[in-house]
Amino acid sequence: MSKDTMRDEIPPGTLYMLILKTLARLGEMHGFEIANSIQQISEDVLQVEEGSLYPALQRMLIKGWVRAEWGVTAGNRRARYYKLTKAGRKQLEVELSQFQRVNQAIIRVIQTA
Amino acid sequence: MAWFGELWRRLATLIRRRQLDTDLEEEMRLHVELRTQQHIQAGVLPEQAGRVARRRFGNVTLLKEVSREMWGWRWLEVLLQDIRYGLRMLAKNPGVTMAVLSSLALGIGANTAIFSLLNAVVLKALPVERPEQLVQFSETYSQGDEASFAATFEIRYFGSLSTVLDGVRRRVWAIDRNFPLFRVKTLEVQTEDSLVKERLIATLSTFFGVLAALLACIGLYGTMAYGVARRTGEIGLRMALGAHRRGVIWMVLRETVLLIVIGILMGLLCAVGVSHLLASQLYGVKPTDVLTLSAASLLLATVAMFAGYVPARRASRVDPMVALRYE
Repeated sequence: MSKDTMRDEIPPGTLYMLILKTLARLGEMHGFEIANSIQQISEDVLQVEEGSLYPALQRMLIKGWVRAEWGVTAGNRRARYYKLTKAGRKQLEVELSQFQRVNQAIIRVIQTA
Repeated sequence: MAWFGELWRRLATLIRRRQLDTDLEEEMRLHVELRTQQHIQAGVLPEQAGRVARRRFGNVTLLKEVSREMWGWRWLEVLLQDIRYGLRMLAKNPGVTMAVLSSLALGIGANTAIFSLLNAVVLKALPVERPEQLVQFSETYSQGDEASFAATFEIRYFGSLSTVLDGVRRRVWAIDRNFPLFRVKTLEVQTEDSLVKERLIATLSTFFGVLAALLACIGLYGTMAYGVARRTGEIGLRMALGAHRRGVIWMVLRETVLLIVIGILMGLLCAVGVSHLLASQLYGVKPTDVLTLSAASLLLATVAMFAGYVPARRASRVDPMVALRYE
């Protein structure tokens, strides 16, 4: 692990949005792949606190935003693959617009001289 | 319909919980192993790679716990745990437990039975349809001093009583001029008159019922307070080990609630049994009056909660060092 880049915890409440977006873009993935993907795409700035991915996924399963099925990885290991549902796609849109609204508001506040 | 699907999935987690637990475990294990492999490929020493991967993952036990909370049955687990724990504590003091339970059961049972009966005899109307429409004709024939018998019949009337009576008299006397039709009373008055003794008894039993309820309350309070006070030493130990005052009070109250629930169930059985016995002697008495049962249960439950709370509060205020030495 390199310590030269600063790693930031993701802001609270955005984990669901990140997972939903990742699944929407890349289709079926297991937990480790989701964590890795978020980290890589954010160029290692966003570090998912890896374990906390799993409670979030459980909640998303209950909510019906994702479906899970056991499959086999490229390395021939049993893994649980998550897939976005229709409800999940709708939820992603809701979370995205909400996030953008809040973000723009914050930016306006901090940029006002 | 989204909530329905969610409810369904929640229920499913309740049924398949063991499978879901192992699934979650396997998933998390795979994650740590894959991360370890990644580190090893990046040139980290194997034993160090495992440690780093685990640290980065977080507290597995805690995360599993949080995941289970997402299924939404945490309250149920806590409830079951409390009940198990409460039962164990109650079993440790069988004497006090039995005394409290019998006070509750008898207090609720006896009072419900008495008041249901009272309600039926004194407060409720006659067990016939529209009793106000009934009028009774009766005549007592006396022969000598002892032997007597009565001729009685009843009619159902509408409209003005005196008009109806005149009509009846005319018709009957047209057939038999000597037929006696003098002691005329509405059925309600007749019942009032003939039930004087029963009502007195009922009033007396009300008095005794109230007295019994009062005694049950006092007995319940005494026994419960004694049971909790006896545990001052245990409470002191808990507090010395770091239990909060509120936690200790809740512990006692949870056990009290458990006692109350069991006691009310036993009281219900008692009440049904006694009332059936009484009802078999009387016509038209409903075995159990729900209102009375609830009132008696509520009264005794309130007393029991109070009897648990006050001494628990007192015990939790005692300095742990003093409490530990309490005999």
